[in-house]
Amino acid sequence: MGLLSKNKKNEKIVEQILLENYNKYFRLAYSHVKNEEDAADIVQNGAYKAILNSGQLKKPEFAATWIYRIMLNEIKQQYKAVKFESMEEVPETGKQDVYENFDLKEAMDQLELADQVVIRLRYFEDMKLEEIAQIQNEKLSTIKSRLYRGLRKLRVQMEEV
Amino acid sequence: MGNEEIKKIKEEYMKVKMPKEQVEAMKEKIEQAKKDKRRERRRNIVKYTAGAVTAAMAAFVILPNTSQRVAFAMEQIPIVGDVVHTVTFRQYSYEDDRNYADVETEKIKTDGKNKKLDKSSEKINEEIDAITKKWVAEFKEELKEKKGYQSMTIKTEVVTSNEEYFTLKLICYQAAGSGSETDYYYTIDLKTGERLQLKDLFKTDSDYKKVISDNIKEQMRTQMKEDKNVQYWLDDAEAAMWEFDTIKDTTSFYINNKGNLVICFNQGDVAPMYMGSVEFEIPSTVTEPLLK
Repeated sequence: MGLLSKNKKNEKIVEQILLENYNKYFRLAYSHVKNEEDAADIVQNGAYKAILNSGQLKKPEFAATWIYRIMLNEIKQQYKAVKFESMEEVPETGKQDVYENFDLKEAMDQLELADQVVIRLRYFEDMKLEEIAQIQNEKLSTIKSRLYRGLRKLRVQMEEV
Repeated sequence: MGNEEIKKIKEEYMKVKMPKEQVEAMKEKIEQAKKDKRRERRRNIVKYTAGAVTAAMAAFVILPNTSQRVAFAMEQIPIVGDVVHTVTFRQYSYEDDRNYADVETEKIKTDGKNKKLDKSSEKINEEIDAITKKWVAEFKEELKEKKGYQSMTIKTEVVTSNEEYFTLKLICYQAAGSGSETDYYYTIDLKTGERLQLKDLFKTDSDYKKVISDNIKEQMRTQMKEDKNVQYWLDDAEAAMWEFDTIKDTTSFYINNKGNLVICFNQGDVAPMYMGSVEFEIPSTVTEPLLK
């Protein structure tokens, strides 16, 4: 259907999604790398890769998921680099978090990246677990266990999970 | 610790926004990606074409020598476009870091045996020329601004070519930030040599606009039901101001090689921009009773 080649159509769909959702990617990236410059880099590189490879997208209905996956990959790469730097810089205090001053946000940062992503997408962006599973390219059961593990660590009791 | 706390950090999380200049930088990256992707594709196309040419040459060399029958069969292949054919002209091209333009259109040539046909063809060539010139002028105007990214591709495509109809499509694709495409269709009725208009096809007393529009709406509804990513401006209260009502005398169309009427809409006419240009093939069972 339509007069545009599939390739051009995909490119348009991908561009449209990028322009509508960049803040979502940026937020997610920012929550991991903690600075605007790096987060913007992630989104910009992700956008570049998404457009460049949009021709390979077989089913345009998965474009949104596919873009998220690209962004997540960018985040992972950047996150590793940042983590590595900060590990070198920050001296060991040898002190554990004191539970009276438990800061949820800080606690979240201590979780594994994949667990953080599940919680952020589920509770902040209100995504379905099925979608998150597609984005992370994992089984639904894996996503569920990541979520429970994460929440348990956070000691957060949600009414419904 | 519970929902309240989650809500609080969610609020904080949602406050994060990508800075404006970074969004602009992202848009530039997108344009850059498009350009790089096109370059990549062009490289591939050249590769493929080169391969095809070699293969064709090989076939030419081998075939005539193999048997009498094959050589005879080759003579039978008709020369493309007896009455009309097209010649391609590169009208304009430009490329630098921020701007890209590629304008290559076809001109219709006739065999010169039918005055009416000559006139219609000439008129179409002139129209295409005028539209192209206008787009190129806008592009050049934008070049002077020396900021932002833009890309423009104008080309033609022979959509239909058979004994009865010849349709040339002019495709104008322009992108600055986001892309948009505008298409024009030119059809010649080869039986008469005249430009074909939609109303020429139908009986004057037939309600062809309504019948065809109804069929299009039906197709839209079916498509939307089957695929939730497909969206048309139909039965949508939120987009009531764009609601598709009926085709007009000026609505684009062509007759495909199967002999079916195809109605074409430009990007944004009957659907959100992301849907691109859309077209609807009208089944012959629908058009048959309306025809002259």
